[in-house]
Amino acid sequence: MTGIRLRHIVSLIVVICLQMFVFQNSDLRIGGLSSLVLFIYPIALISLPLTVPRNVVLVLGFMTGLLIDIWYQTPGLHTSALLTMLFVRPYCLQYILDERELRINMTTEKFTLTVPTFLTYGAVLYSLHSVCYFVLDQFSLMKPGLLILRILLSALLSLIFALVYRLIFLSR
Amino acid sequence: MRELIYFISRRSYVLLFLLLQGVALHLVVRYNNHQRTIFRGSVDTVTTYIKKKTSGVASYFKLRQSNEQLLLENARLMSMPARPTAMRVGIIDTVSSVPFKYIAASLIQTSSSLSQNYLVLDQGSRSGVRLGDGVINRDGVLGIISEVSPSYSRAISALHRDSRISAGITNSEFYGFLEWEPYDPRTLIMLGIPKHAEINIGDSVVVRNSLIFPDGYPIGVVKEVMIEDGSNFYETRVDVGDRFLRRGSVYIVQNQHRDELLGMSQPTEK
Repeated sequence: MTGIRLRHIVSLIVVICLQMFVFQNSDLRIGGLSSLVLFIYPIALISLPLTVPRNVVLVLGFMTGLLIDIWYQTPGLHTSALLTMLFVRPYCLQYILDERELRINMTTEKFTLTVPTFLTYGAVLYSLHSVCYFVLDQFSLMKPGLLILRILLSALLSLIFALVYRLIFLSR
Repeated sequence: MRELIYFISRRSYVLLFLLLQGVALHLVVRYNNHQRTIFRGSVDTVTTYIKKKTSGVASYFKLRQSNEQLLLENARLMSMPARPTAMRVGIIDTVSSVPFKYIAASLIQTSSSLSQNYLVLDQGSRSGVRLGDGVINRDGVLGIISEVSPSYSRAISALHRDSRISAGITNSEFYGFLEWEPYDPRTLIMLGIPKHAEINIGDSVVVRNSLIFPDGYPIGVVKEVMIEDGSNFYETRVDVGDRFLRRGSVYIVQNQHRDELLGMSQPTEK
């Protein structure tokens, strides 16, 4: 049990470091579209076991978001988006998982999802995260087409990264 | 209290989220220039809109009071056919024996708690205001202009220990002068009326023998009459109401013949 918890803590530290040092320049470009963001850090938090109290997850999210915001000098943006994502997480799981899957996850220290379920779960949460982040970043609804493109592409890229990361590091 | 604790414990997840989200949003608006500018702009737009609406509603509720004031003033003006209606552009009174010109103004600063009180008006030499003009409002005499700039003027209030205004009792040929004894803003003291004149409590005190104010313009009401031992003159306390405590519209009154008359007489008022 301690080993699993330790692995989650290490995972959180790893994704934060990845976000801060490896993907330091978060401003990605695809074609002519700039200012895309690859959100790496949420995967560690949305993969926490359901046995971890929801309030603890929120506080962890707040601290992680704050750290990222300090690093990128975007006070409050990542924090707010991450908090929204983590707040919706339990309700999203209740909706996506059937009773048996939910019961298993509620009683074990391991957060187990099939790949299709994880894709649905991740798509919802990453989309929400991206919406919050880009709407707060732009702080207006001007150029809605570009805004939606940025949201969708950033959420997609982040989801792909999350899937790969989960398959490599968290599936064992 | 127990219910509150129960409520908080039941809703701790939502409450904690709202608290942390509040902090995060505060950071967004407080420390990001772009967001702060837009946020302030939006807040200003909303608050201006709300203030405009509430001000409109407040004005609507004050309409009755404003209307009553206008009716009272109209009634007073109609009862004095010899005095013209004051307008923002001064007009010359050619009906009464001495031609007076009235200039409407607003009090922008006034005091009543000092021993030397002044009034500041929003009309100056550009509107034709001159040194020595009188200042009145619908309730009575207020003061005399002592300084004039192009856009503003300052008047010595009747509540000034050096102020002297010529006054008398309605329906009496005797006159004296008004002084002020600090610090009661509702009371002036009329001196110089000989003791053989008849003065009763409740008599109206009006302007008399003045080069500055129209003759008969109201000042106040007698509230106390005294004669000091050995004196031949009354010391009369005059109730002037609360007009020195209020701001609002006033009229600057100009005697068009003052310079001509001053050349023939000694000024008694200041």
